[in-house]
Amino acid sequence: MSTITIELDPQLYQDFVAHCEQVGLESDTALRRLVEKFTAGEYLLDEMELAPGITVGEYLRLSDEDEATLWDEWYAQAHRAVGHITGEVSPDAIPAG
Amino acid sequence: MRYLLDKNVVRYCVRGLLGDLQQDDVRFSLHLLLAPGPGELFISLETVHILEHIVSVPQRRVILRRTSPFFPARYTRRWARRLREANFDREDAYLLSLATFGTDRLKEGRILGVDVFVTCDLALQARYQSVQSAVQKRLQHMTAQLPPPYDGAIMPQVQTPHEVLA
Repeated sequence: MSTITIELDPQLYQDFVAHCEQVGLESDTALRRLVEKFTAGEYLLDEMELAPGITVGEYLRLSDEDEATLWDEWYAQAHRAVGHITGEVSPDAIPAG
Repeated sequence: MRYLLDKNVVRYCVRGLLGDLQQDDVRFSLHLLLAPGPGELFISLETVHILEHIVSVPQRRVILRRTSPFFPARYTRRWARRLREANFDREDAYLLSLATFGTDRLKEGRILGVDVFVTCDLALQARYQSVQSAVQKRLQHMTAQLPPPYDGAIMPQVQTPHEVLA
């Protein structure tokens, strides 16, 4: 086992310990679970990359219009990559409706 | 029922899965994605590409697991050109055409088209409704000359996520 030492301000420490007691976990067990989930990608931080050139925090701060523009750019990029692909339909395929 | 999700619906799902549920469109899109049993959900290959190769957060996997790729097939591009003549922009025309002539597999697709194209773009929905009867006639004229199963191709309904859930 490796050890990490972290410093928390007193209020955050008290809140964390109280929260651990509420859920019935030792504080080191709770921290270990949090680290496991974080490294598995289940928890995101604002600083993490959402896509090339943009972090989660930057993305979430985009206006709806700017976000739509970004997706339009991604769509154009994607169309260049997959726009040539064509599927084949079986003669007995079921039409919608 | 089969549904093709516009990329803006998927965009709202990404935002919702990141925890920002402030907008109605985000909540309804995410609800549609996660609700059990509205039917089969499809997304275009372009949207699949965005989720597989551009967006890198793990939330993308929730969307990819719940949806299937929808492939353009024979006549998708031809019908998209006709729709462009009805003043739909290139992307909208392509996606509406995909909703009519797309299929679920690269080879031996089992289905042709979807019942509903789902979008949060109200301007697109209004434009579609205003030209629907004229475009419908044009599609019937085209499909009358096509072999099965293309002769059974239909125009989809265009609905918002809220309307689908209602």
